[in-house]
Amino acid sequence: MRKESLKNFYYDYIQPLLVNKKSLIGLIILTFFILMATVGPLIVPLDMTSNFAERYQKPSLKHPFGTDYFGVDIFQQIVHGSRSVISLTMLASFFAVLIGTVIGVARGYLEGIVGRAIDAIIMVFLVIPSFPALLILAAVFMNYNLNVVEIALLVAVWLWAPLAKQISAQVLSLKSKEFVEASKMLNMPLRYILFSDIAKLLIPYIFINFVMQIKGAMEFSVGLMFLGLAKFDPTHWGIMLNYALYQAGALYTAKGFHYIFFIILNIVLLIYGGILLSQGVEEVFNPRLRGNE
Amino acid sequence: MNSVLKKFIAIFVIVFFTAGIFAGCGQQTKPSQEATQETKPQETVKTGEIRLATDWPFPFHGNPFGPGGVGGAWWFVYEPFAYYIPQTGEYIPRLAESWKVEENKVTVNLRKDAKFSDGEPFTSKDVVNTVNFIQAMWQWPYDIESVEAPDDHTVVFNLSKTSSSSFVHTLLTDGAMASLAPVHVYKDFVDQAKEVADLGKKIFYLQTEGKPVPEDMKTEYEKKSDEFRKKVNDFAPFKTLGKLPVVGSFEPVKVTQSEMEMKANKYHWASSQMKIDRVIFKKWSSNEFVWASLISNEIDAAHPSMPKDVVEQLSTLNPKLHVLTVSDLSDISLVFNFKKPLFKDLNLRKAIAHILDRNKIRDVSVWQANSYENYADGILKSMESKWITQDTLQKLTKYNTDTAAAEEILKNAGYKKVGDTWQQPNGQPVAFTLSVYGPHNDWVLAAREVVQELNSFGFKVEMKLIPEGMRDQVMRSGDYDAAIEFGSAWWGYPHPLTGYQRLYDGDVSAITSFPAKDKYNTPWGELSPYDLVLELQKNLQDENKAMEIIQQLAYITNEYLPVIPLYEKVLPIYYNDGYRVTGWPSKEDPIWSLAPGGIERVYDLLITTGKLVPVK
Repeated sequence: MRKESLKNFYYDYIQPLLVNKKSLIGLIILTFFILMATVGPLIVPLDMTSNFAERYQKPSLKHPFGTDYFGVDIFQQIVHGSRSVISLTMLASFFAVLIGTVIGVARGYLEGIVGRAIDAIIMVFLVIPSFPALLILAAVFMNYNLNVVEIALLVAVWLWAPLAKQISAQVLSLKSKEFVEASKMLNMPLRYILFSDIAKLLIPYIFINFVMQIKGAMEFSVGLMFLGLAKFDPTHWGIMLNYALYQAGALYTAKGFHYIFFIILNIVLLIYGGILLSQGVEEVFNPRLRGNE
Repeated sequence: MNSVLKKFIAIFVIVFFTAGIFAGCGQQTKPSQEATQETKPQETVKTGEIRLATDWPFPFHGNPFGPGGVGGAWWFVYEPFAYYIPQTGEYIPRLAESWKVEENKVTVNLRKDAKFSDGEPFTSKDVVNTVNFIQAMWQWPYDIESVEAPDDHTVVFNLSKTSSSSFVHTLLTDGAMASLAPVHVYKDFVDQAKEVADLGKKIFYLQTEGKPVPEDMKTEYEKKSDEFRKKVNDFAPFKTLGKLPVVGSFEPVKVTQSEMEMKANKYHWASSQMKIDRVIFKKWSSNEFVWASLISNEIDAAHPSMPKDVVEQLSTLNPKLHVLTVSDLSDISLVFNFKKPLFKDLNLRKAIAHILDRNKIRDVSVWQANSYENYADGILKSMESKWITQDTLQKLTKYNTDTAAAEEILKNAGYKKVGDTWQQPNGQPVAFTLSVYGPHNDWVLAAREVVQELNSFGFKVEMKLIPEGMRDQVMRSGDYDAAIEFGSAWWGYPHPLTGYQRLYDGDVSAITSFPAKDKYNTPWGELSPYDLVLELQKNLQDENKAMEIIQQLAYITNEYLPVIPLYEKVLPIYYNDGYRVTGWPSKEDPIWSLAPGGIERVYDLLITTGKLVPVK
């Protein structure tokens, strides 16, 4: 029985993703980065010893991505930094999407004073300027050694509100559909209506949002490091980019081109992989988007 | 009907926007026309402009006591009695013609031709009012017991008995001392300022003498000073009067968020020599903005921190750009929190001094800085040969990079290396956090390198950034293990006394809690650095005695390491020669040593002496 349901799950959800070109390429890219984060540091050793005389070395066999302003191998840093990028930003995006979806669905479905109260909460988080709020958080949590999950939650707090607002609008339009009315008439429990009838249809939309949140989460996590809230990690891609742009001035010297290029390339690839996968997911689960059928 | 209405609205919108665009263009050109008209009578003498970069509060209030003061315009707006050139020890008279120092009395003879930019003469009454104002607003400097104006051009400062001999230098050279509160601008506050200043001094002197201060006196002072400060803080001369009368060489006339335009004070005592009549300040929004502005000749001079490769690129792109460096009269150091047991161990501090490669730290942080290769004696590197004798140098331990020496020191002190990690004699790993102020890029780069080197050696060091605006709070509350901070600094009075005062009886001792009053073994016997600083202060005029005390302080500082200096901070000055202005002095000219603590003083001096001239 279980085997059968697993088989069905594979044919219903996994195989279509593998057949779709966009989702396949997206999956390959994301798998590459996940492997980089998990296995990479075990294979590629990290030597952060600076050597100013060897700064801005061009890409070569010895240094595949060249060296940075400190004369440290960029490739090694990218590999080791992927761990904190993947864990912190993905986790933060996940929490943001989770909070945004639950609150958004609840707001969209619930009416009356409860709905308005949730709406008010969403509005509050939409209008609070995130940077001053982060400064206050920095002051409050300065002496706590926060772990990755706690930091991810702190980041997510400032990212969920726009998604909740969008999802509540989607739910408002979905809840008047016939199949939801039918579920209501059949006295199906609220949990079923919310999460089986409505939330299911929002999956591709939520997934795209998850991918789009990665960029925001990355910016926030760098901000937190510079505020002293998160443990400072010089190999975090955001920190590397900050060093390259604002401290080493790599944009202002031709020698520094590769320094910025390889960091941005990896960030773009990671996000692009996610976008392709989310587009693929949408095409698979929304037949209207399947142009070739 | 509807379509007619739509057409009408469309035509109205187009006409409205077109008119707006033309009006906008008109507004942009108007000020320059006005400026041309106003400067016409002096066009033959002054037609030049210099563009610089700085910061200022916006909306601009023009009140030096208000938040942000007048920003980077300070040294163009307010003049001190004299400028001091640290490299030559020369005082250049500005608002003072001459001065006489007697025991506790300084008599300053003011320039008779000094006038404010609105034509009002600058007199001794303005100085008296300024002193009352700063004492009332800032509770400083109580070294001045009283100030008198026997005539319009003479000011007599009576100093308190506890005043240090270095205060005379501050009195003569501090920009705040002479012309901050002109009587004709602050006339509504004159009596109140004197009353609050007198009351504040009375309380201060009672406290200094160890006498009790009556409660009603304290209450009265708090009430009156609060009321006075609020009134002064709310005063915005630039808005209220529509101008800012200045005794300095330039007056701010138009201030926006991105640009401050200053016009020459046509009544300035050096006006006849000035060839530049306009200073334009561009907003220093970021270092990168300043780099780009220097490349494009948008500004003529600035002093941003700039990586080596960017400087090379800049010089290629803009051959008119020159660079020189002067000491910032301060060093960037690794400071320890002596409340933490780990750092009470001198052996660990000595080991750290040997582990760190200070040249490497300098290279990645501020490549132009002066490196401390061997010593940590509290004397700025650029001043070492002047203040430390060869005999003393031979007595000092050399802290060259030598990890083997560090290992030996640690092993002899009972530390041991287990695996890759060093352990203290109590079995705990040598682990701590290095805090660094996030917004200071060069400090962050230095911290990164320090952490890297210590971790490579086998310590467990983590880096923590202090958020913007929280540096004082974190450092003063002692909420750190070790940190990157200013160590010795000779700002104000460029003399070893200032640096040692800071280390043993000032800002650094306050944040590190180094036991400065303890006695330390030296070749001259057991000495306390705190007592030595007091002794040096008393014997400043006795050169031989002062030198002897400085040698003793240098020995204690080097051998007991209250801080480990990483590099002597320098001020890189970039200037465009021949694009808009020319006449910059040679790189060796001592005038550049005036830059630390107010680089605008150098520009002001060059303009008012007629050295800096517009390019024809």
